[in-house]
Amino acid sequence: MIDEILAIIPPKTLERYQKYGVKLRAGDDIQYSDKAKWNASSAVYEDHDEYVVFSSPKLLTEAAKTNGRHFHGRDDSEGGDFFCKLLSPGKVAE
Amino acid sequence: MKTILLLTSILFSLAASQSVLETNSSLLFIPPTKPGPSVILLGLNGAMCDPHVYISLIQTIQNYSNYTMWAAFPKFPGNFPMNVGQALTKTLNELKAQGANSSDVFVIGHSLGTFVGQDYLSENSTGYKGLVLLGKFMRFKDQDPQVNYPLPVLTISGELDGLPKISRLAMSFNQMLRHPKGQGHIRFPVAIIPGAYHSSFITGDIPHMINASDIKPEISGPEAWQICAKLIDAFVDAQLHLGSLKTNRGAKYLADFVYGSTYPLMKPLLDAFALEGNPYLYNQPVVNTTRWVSYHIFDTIGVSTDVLPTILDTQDIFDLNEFYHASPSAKFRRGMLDYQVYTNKQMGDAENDDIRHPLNCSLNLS
Repeated sequence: MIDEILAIIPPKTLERYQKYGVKLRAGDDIQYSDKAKWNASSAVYEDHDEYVVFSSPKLLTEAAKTNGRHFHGRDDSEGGDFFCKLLSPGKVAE
Repeated sequence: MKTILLLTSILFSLAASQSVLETNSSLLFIPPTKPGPSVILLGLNGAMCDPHVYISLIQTIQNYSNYTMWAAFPKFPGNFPMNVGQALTKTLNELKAQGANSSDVFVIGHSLGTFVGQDYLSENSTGYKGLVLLGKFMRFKDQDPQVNYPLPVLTISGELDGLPKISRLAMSFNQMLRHPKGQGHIRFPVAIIPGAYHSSFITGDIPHMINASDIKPEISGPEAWQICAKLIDAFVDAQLHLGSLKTNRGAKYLADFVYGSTYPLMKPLLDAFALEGNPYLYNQPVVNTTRWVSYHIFDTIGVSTDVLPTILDTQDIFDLNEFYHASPSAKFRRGMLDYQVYTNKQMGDAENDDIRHPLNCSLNLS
């Protein structure tokens, strides 16, 4: 997403960002295994001298194995949900 | 009896009559002789900005404009604007005592002065023709100002202003584009000065708390004042000729600046805000969507849409607790794989300009 935003900003703005900006980089996701902890988590910004690394809390809940169903007909209690926290495209453009 | 002191240094004075007078309560800017009718500009300073720091800007406006631009700033204790109504009235009377004879009164605020000015004028607009904001923006407390605010407002900010960032100004620009009569660029123009920063409007020492948050400018003060003068002159001219906008010089200048110079800076930001369905955009149906999630979700979870016909529905849930308990789903219905994805936007305070607010996203990967 960072690259997509960089592709649409004005050339002079991009040049200024490349020259002076603190670069924004996407880091590895932070894996959670508990939904309550994921709920309470925040995205992480790790400051470095010339760049900031954004890392997203991610949670993949375990899918129930009771009936062997995959995509079809599952109910809400079966798990298999994916959660993540995303950086705002608008803030990347800023 | 008031003591009126003639400033020993009369700065940037191109005409013999142009001068600055100081009273106990105001700084008065006597204009040079001009062919055009008189207009009055009343200024409200930024926090900790002595009104003297605006002398160069005001005199640039006076010299550029064909109008006879009388101007004055009330003086506030500690240079923090307060009791604005009383101060403006007193300063206006002092300016009129110097010869300012006009009912066309505009208020110009800088930084904090823009907020106290817009709050005051929202309830006390009688006798005023418009408001100019320097280095800030119309707050969301007025919702859609083009519909709700009683006066036209010109917003001017620097591209490199680190306090109200350009992203926040993009939201005001978006409101301008949505003026119900297509006159946003006349009645609520938002203009960005390329290369200017928060203190491009002033001279002298810049308060540390301001400098610490700002970005370095790429244009000089006089360059910024000149652009500012053209915009303010055009705004005044357009408001005083609403019946002849098609041929009005000011209206043309505003349109050229807003769409020719500012729009290219704003469009990428607005496109990015649209991708996230930013709740401050007020663009239905964009607000309740999260297109960026829709565009990329299958790549993110590693699902190929080539294998099965797949449809996706993203629903934004405003309440965070409700979002946490939402149950995304992936169901096979009528030959289609139907994904239901939920998103929740934690945007924080839009005027806080804080980049560190992620967009929450929940989706089913069953």
